[in-house]
Amino acid sequence: MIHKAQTPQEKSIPMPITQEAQQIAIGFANEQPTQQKALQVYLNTLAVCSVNNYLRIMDIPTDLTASDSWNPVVRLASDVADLWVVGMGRLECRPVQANQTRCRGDSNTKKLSAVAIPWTRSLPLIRN
Amino acid sequence: MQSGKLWKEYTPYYNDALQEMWEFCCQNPELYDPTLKSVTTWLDDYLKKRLRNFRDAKYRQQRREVSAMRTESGETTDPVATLPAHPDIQPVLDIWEKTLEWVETDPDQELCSACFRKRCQVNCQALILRRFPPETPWPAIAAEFNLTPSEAKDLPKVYNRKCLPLLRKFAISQGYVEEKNRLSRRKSS
Repeated sequence: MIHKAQTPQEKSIPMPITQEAQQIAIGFANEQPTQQKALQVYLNTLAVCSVNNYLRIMDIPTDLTASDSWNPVVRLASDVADLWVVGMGRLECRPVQANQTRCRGDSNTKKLSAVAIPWTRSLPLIRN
Repeated sequence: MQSGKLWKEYTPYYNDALQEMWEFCCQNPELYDPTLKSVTTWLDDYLKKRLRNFRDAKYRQQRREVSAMRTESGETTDPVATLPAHPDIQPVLDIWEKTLEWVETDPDQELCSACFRKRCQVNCQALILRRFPPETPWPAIAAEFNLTPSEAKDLPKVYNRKCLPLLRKFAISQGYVEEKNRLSRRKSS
């Protein structure tokens, strides 16, 4: 399903991609049997970690381990990029190329909301 | 951060220190005293403190690592090379192989009995196998099973509703994740 990104890049919040997030994303990507799936998982994981880091700054409790994106079996069989927000529900965190205005998304599950995360390979920051 | 006024250095752990600084300072604004320093200086001071901690941890780690040694006869011996291979890589490969085997064999007939509407050939086993990498797109799956447009539209929803819970259950049974009660969840990281 294609969704139009609602937030213009200039209004987005820059977030640093931490070494910790990169290590987790590489670890999850290494579990995948194909390169294309590995890239999907790598970007989804960075998106989830970045939103999680932002919510940590805002002191909003989350539970990564309760998210489908943290489940190695669900990750294999589905394009998941969710973050469980305690007491609220599932937040969709989708990576989007910096020059694009639309991103992939899963409209088939009940969710709290969705966040689009523009990124570029060369930038040390991503925005959410 | 966008103003570019914060302390910047090019170390691998800079972003991690920055994250910790924002977490600490945003959650403890009462610690800021405007009579002592500007906000930027206050943020910078904490950021530098975190950077120092990361730097010290890195040095401690380096000191703990054993490096290659040259013997009296001039040969180089690497103590690390004598250690047995790290077994961590195997569980990673196991997850894919075990999951694939479970879906293909479906020992409890759980997957093939979870059908899409009344179409028994469109069951969770068939769908999961097609959604495994390389992911078959939903329209291609719908076309393969001759689904009507309205059935095709429902297919991803049914997959999420019927098949994902079975995958989650399998992950728990294999010990890949812990079973949790979402109502009592607290911040974990």
